[in-house]
Amino acid sequence: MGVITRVNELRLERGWTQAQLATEAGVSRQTINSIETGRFEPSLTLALKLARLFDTPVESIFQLAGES
Amino acid sequence: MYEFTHKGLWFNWSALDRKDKQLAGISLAASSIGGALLGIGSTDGAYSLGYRLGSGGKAPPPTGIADTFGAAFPWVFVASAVALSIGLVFWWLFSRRQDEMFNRVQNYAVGLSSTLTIALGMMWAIAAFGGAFPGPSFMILAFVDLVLLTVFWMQAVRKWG
Repeated sequence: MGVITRVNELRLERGWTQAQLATEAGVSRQTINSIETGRFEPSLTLALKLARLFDTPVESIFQLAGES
Repeated sequence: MYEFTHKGLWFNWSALDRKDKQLAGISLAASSIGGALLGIGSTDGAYSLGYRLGSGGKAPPPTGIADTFGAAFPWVFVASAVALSIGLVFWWLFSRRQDEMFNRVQNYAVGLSSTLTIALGMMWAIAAFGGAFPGPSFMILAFVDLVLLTVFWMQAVRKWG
């Protein structure tokens, strides 16, 4: 079962670049790009870091595919 | 922070910070020196294996490599082991500073290639018990491992990167 992500949407809402978000999250820009395109599912630690950066619950950023 | 380029075969050097460049640079230099020394030292063994396989088991003529180095010949292997160990330690230090995608790719590639190489080595050793052909060659297994590592690394980068 895959994961649907809203990282791209939330990042654009805040006007951040992938590089800015990557620096804040302590990962590479490539990792942020892969998360946004759904190729890479982050660890729980990174998911929680992103949730903290976006100031939103983790389940509003990542959802299991098939769940509404 | 590490960024893959060329389908995972290389990386964006300018994306690394100063410390990353230092660690990766020392690791790559030490590994290259260690690999070159190992190649020189193993020439006899590789030639011998190839000759035996190609000639139906006949003993090969001497290559004279060991004579060229004289008493220093065993130290070629010691220097190679030291250089490769330095390369490994610095790569480990470099890896620790990278993010989870890099480490997931590395774990996937190293895990699969090592498992398959060990399995191949074991099958080769068992098959060689009968004496039909020479026992496992470290150099050939190391080469197979390197090829598998590259293939699985590229596969992981295509999947996640």
